[in-house]
Amino acid sequence: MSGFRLPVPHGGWVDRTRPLRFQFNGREVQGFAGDTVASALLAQGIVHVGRSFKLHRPRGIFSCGVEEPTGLVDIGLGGARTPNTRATDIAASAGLQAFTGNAWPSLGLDLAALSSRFAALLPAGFYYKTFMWPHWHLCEPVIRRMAGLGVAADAPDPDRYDQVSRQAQVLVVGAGAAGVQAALAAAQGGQQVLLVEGAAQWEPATAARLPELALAGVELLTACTVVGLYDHGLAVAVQTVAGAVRERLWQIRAGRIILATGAFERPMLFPDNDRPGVMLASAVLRHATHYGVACGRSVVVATSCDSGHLAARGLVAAGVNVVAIVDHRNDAAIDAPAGVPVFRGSAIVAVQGRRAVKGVVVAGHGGGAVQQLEADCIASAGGWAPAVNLHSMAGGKLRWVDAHAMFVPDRVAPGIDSVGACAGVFDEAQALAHAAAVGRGIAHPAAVGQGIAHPAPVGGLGAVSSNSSPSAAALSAAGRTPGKVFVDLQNDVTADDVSLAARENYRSVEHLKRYTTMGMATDQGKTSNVNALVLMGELTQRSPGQVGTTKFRPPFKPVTLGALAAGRSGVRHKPLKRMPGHAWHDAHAPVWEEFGGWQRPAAYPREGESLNTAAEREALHVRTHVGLFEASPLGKIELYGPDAASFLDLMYVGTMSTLSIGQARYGLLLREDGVIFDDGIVARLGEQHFWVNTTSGGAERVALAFEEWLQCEHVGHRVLVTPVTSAWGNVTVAGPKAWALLQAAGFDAALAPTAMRHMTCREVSHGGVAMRVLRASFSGELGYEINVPGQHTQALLEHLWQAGQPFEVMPYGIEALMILRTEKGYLHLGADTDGTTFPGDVGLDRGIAKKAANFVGRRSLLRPAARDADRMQLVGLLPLDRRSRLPVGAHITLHAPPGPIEGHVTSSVFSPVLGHPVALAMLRRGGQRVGEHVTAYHLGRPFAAEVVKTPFFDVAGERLHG
Amino acid sequence: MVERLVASSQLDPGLQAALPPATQALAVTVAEGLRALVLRHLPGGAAAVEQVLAAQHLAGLPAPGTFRGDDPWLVWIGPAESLLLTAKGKLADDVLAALQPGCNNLACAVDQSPAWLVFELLGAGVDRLLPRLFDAGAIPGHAGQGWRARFKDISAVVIRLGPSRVWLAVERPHGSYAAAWIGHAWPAALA
Repeated sequence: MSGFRLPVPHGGWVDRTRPLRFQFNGREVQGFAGDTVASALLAQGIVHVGRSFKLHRPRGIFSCGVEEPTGLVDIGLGGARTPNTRATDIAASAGLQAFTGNAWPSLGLDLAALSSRFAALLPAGFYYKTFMWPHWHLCEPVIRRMAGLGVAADAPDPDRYDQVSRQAQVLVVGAGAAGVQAALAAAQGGQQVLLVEGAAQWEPATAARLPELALAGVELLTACTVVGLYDHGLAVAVQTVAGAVRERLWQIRAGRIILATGAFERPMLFPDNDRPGVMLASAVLRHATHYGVACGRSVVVATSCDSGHLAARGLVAAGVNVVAIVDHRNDAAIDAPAGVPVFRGSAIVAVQGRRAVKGVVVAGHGGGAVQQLEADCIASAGGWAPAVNLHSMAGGKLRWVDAHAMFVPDRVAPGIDSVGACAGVFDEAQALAHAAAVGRGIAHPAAVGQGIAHPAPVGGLGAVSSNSSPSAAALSAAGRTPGKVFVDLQNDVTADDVSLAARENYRSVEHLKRYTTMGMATDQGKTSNVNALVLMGELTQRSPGQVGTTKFRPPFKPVTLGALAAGRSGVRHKPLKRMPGHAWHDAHAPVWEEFGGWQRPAAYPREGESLNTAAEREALHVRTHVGLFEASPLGKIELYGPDAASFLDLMYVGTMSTLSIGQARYGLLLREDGVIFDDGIVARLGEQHFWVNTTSGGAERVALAFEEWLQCEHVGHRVLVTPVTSAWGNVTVAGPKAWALLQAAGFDAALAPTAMRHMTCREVSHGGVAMRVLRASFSGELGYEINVPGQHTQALLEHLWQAGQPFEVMPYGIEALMILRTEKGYLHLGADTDGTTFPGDVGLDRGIAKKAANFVGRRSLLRPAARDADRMQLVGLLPLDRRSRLPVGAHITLHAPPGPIEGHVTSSVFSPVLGHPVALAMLRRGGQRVGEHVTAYHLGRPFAAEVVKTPFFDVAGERLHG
Repeated sequence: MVERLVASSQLDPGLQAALPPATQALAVTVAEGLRALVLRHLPGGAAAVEQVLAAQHLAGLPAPGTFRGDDPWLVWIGPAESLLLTAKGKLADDVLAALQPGCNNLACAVDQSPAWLVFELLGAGVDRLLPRLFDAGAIPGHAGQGWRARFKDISAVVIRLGPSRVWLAVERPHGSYAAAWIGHAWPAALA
């Protein structure tokens, strides 16, 4: 094929006064503003642009739009590289770099093309049948490397992406004739209308109606493709924009959606129909009329419908040389262009040329003599497939129209209509009338009782043959073995593959898709699905309607991950919370890590220290001196109301109503199935007023659970639940010198351990600030949790830091806290528990039997499963060698795995105060196995350990009293 | 004698730096010094709240989807919850004192001032910025409208004080996240 640029006036979409240059595989390509990469390549005679997915056969440009299956290129360099973009859908721009992504070492000499020599070994589903010896995993990397399409970016994407939400009373998708008509009718009826068009430029007919659209108040968006329809009238569109932003993601809420997405042309099936130079007839015509590009100097039109003849007429009118029309049928309703021979009842039975079409061999379906034609482009017109993708995504159904060999919308989704070609209406006058009726929103009289407001006048294509394959007689007339007939060009699925699937009973269309990969990847079968379904139907004696289609899913066309993320990267990736003392910690150079959605200091390493050694130093210091810790993320909820006390009794395993004012108590929260879902301390601030601490990650879910129970079950309880986590900071002072530090800082003597017992709460004023101080400890040391209004947290930290210098106060992070609590055997929810843990499994079922009030989860604790003596229970583990730290997650088994699992390690640290590692584990019947030696296995390595009781340190629990 | 603890700035320096520079079309600042009280009531308790508000010469509780007043601003959050925003410290203290837990069985006020960070958006570009941060259906279109809404992946309270003036209140721990999104959407809103 040797394409060339047609003279003016052809090519209204390109601006010949604005030439540009870009690179394709390092070769300079010239084009004009308005060109696509594909049109510029074709205009320069570049026909071979890629290699196929599996067999690495040479491939060229096939279409002129989003349906492109073979003209795939990678665009850009480094982080800006976008793989697998359609050359037909990317605007050519000065300096653009385009690459073939599926050829090595070069497009011309692709070593992987050797695979086509072994094509017989690579039928559909070959990976289920071959390469199994000696082991599939030996072959897998090679196959995957060969089969890949494109090369991903190797650095962060430097481009910006925008996301905008908007509303529309009526959204019209597609600005062809029918879309414009529907938009105008809706707008003239007083509706607020948004019309979106995927192309960057208007069709000439649409451009002529722009003044009308403007007058009617229709809003327009170009280069904007609706890629998905979702519930409640939500349409998602991606728009390519110029300037600082590369792409914009639109989220459009529409009261009514009118689809006018057109139709995709269906290719003919004939041997070697994948050669570069074989194109859709509509694409050959569109390249001529819109881009002023003749895709070849000698074009043969292969068709099974009247539109092939129309395309031939258009090409001739544009000055393109059409050497013949090969019509699958015996008759056509349309005359061929003058002087163009027509081979009726015939088919192409061979294509000459490997990297470019050089000629075709034509034979009649009845056999007989063959005709050889010189051609460098084959325009293939096998009928039309309405673009029902969005209709189907929205839940609409389809029906098969045999006369026109196409699926059309059937039962529609509420609020969604289809008009024009996507509704199967190809007669222009009928399409415009139907679109206007739909736009106006007036029900068609014939629709009463049919469930369809505006039945579409399907038709206008003339007779279309569903099967466009050459007959056996025609193939044999060619006198040689026919080449491969490709059904799905993108995935190298041939007619033989479909036949194989049918023979192996993959009759379901979903099975056919998975087995052959037909309809997968970037084009989602836009040009291949119907041909495959027709073939499968013939092979299994069913109509295409009985075979059915696979489910259409978003996106309608490939979308960059950048557009979908729309700015969700870096600090915007996830809403990480900052503690009120963040800047104070920053000044002490911590290692920041995320814990439960908060940025928190993991440790404060000194020069040369690892995170572990820093944490061990900090933990030991808390045991011997005093440490400062910010626990602001600890969940905090205020409960107030006449029934607050009894409500807490209903929610917690423990009894909270017996707390006196100023007292605090640890409590467990269960789900209805009895599984632990959070824990924390409840303190009573007043007769009807409680302060509830939850885990750091559990604040929201506990508040929601409280609200749910109040609103749905305990509706009579008068309780107000107010989450206050963000309002209060929390500075924890822990260690044997904790009180000495507070005393030096000027805190009231009422907080002295002699005056204020463990698990009590005081409201105090310090430095002019009201604080709530709780005597509690997660370290096992004397501890004060000082709750302070958030804006005073930094000042309090600094105040205590200065006052604590004589006591060598040290900040400690989460890692040190984990060491301290593990030494004490304190439970850490989510680490030591999972979605099956009952209170009894972790030794927290004391008092349940005696509790008079009911509570959430109680009934489940009485079921046999909860009382099973064989359940796993939390125990301590000590490595027998007192050196090896047991890996968290290591499985405890009786014999080397595989074998029944007896338990697993849940927490494991090196204890600096004890001088050896300690661990917690869930172990079957753990409470009865103290003293037993067990083995935990991690990645094949055994760790011998002894089952012990916890705590490991300060067994009597005296240290927390000061 | 203990020195008085001094509150940190409303705005940490990193967050301040993340805010985009003002233009004629659009400006963002942090509304400093605002107090935020959550007013809650149980069935039968609305009258108690109304009484306290009346004592402060304030109009009653707002209707759903609206706010009332101009310092203080009383924003509807839910059927039994309102958010009172004010720059008047004494007024906030008085309301808090009158409704602190224990004063009334069926209503209470909780001081949430440290929990909130309020961004003030000014300029004609507000209507191009907000659709980049909120679902279009969650944007108050008219002065006097306000509600809780989803701001990207966090919760926020958004109220429209005037045609070109909007407050966007988020929980303070999310301040950096909110500022980063405002900064990200800024150039596109101005383009």
